[in-house]
Amino acid sequence: MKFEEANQYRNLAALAAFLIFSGVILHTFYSLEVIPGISYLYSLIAPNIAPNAVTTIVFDFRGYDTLGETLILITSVITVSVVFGRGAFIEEEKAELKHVVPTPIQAVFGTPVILVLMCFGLLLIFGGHLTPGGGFQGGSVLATAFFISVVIYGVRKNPFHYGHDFLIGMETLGALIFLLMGLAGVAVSGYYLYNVGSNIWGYGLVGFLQYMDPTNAGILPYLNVAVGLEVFGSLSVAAVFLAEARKHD
Amino acid sequence: MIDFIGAVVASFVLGFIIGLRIQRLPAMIYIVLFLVILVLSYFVGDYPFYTFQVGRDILPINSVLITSYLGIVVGSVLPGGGGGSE
Repeated sequence: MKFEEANQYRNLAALAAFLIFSGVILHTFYSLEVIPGISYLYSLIAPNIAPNAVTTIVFDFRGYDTLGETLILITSVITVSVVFGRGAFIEEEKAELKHVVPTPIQAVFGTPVILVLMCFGLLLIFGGHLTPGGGFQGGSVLATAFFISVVIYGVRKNPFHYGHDFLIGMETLGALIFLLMGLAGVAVSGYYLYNVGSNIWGYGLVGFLQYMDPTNAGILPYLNVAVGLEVFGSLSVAAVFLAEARKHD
Repeated sequence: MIDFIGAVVASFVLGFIIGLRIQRLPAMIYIVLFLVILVLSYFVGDYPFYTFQVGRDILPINSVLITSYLGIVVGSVLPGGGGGSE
């Protein structure tokens, strides 16, 4: 398949996705039922959804806002890649930080510390609906761990082989999980991003989206994972682009 | 019996995915790091309530930290994306 032909298909797919997403959002706003005092009600029922009321507010009550925040990350990464990403695509100026040689202390302690940091990031992601933490913080810790490895080993000789494709795949997967969770809410209740695994308002329950947990969090942990993946991918891609950036005239 | 089976399984899977792109390290590093993670999980304790429950006893060891590490190790040991041994 030639590049132009593939580009046309990609444009068509993008157009279809845009139309579906716009239609869903418009349908949700059309059928929106504004309940006076909903904020007060949510502050009362939030502990019945997840022990961490902040997560309930961030992902359940104002899920649209969180969706926008995650998409801001994608925009920022695109901006970083446009401004600094030239070095990654010019063969003779490949961004190897050639002068990067780990010191003995870095060589001994670098990889273990990074692995422990990654475990801690995952712990933060999966504790998001229970205690302070969540996708944003956990994803940031994961990206920080990767960035430490870039600082120590550089990009090319890094034992953590997170290339552009893998990181962009992580980012896309996170955004896709978030959007598809919202579509499940539309299919069941008519409301985008309705918490179909918790069903606190009685609009419909999707059994397999009930998180296996003593809490009643529903899809909130999955949204945490999605945001964690997206933050990890976005910040890491930005780190790679910045590490590969070269000075140009 | 483990109440938080969802987080335990999901952390292993996510750790596995992240570990797939990590180069295979010498086995001694994995063993020493496992002991370090055990100590760490003891001190982290039941931070987000993730503990091992055996009968009526609750072990003060963070289960998700351990399963995340195991997922990363399994992912990095497998041949493929990580690019072989160091």
